[in-house]
Amino acid sequence: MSMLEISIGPEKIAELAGFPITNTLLVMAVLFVVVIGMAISAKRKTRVDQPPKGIAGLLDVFTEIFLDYVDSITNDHKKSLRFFPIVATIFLIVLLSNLVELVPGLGSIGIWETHGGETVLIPLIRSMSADLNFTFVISIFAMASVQIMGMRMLGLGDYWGKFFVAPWKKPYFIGSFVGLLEFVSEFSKTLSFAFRLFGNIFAGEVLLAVMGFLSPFLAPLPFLFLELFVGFVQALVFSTLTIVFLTMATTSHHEEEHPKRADYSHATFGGKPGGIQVSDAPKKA
Amino acid sequence: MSDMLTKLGIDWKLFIAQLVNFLILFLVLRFFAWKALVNALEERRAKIRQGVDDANKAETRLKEIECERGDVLAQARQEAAKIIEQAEAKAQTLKEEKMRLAKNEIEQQVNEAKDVIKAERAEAYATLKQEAGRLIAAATGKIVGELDDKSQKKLIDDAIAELEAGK
Repeated sequence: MSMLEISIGPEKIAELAGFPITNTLLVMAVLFVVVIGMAISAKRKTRVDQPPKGIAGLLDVFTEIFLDYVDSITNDHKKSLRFFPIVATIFLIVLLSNLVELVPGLGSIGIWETHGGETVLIPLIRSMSADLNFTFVISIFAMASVQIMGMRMLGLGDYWGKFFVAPWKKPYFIGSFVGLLEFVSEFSKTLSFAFRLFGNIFAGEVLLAVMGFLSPFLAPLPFLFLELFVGFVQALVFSTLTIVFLTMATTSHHEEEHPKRADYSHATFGGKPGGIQVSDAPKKA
Repeated sequence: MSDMLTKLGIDWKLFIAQLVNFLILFLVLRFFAWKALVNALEERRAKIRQGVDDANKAETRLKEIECERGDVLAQARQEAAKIIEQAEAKAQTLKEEKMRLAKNEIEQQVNEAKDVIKAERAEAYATLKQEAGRLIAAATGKIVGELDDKSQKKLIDDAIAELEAGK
């Protein structure tokens, strides 16, 4: 018999004119058809004055809940409407691809191949989120939309002025350094996006495969539930962070008003006279 | 670097393929699904908001109308009461007037009747006097006999005048 083959990258199952066809591409193709079917169904069946039903109804419910969720983060309905297509697409596709790991046959349906004298099973089903190519695609897409939205809504100068602060301006070199850090963090955000999703889902897949290999009955059940939860949470985390970054990128740093601080210059130890004047703080009853 | 990427399973061909796939999915979702869904959602919400607003407006209008109706009714009632009062007062004065007129007429008629009675009595008295004079003349003529007519009449008249004066 063979050992369980665990590979960090997607496994190649065929080659088409020099182009490698991997199991994640195969799953992506299926998902592609499913999502396009959903989109067309939504386009055709969505009505304003009729109760939504079917797939379109499901997407309708999702739209309502998710738009409110975006609203709760951005606090600006116009912004929400612009961000919604980006984050909703990310959420939907990441969720669907995360849930692929729960499909029966993961790690068990495949092609037998010999690798270095050993016969190993190359699985046909592998979640796209357990493929760094795919997670990088989404994270680069997310961060690119953050940059583009920032530039479109703030203007080029205002947006890049966040990162490149002249050293002779108010906080002097500190400002320049912080700006530079912000700039680097845009790249690290991309990396962390990609590796967070990959790590979680890949770990889940390996966990499920190993559990299924060691004890095929009952033991994998709790882990299946756990992975269902993890898949949802990771999709939510990915899209929530994207909303947060979008909101941050489209908020001008000029209009950020700091709440007025307490003025301690007249303070005495009894709090009287003069006292501490806080103009905007809520008064205690 | 590229060694590490290969070990992690990153392949530029696969990356490009996934990127193209994802972008197509994004565009399809954006222009088919999300656009229709968000538009429908926004429109539905606007409609609901409009409906609720209209209902509220209708309710306040209804309350206003109710208030106005109450006012109008109260005013009408007041007016009606005033009119009735005026009518009653008018009727009272009219009645008094009529009573007064009737009383006057009755008094007048009574006076007229009294006058007529008086006149008739006077006439009757005059007639009686004449008749009595003639009767007395006849009687005394029978008794006294041949007293001439002229002195006889004078005698009777004197006696009557004397009787009247003594009465």
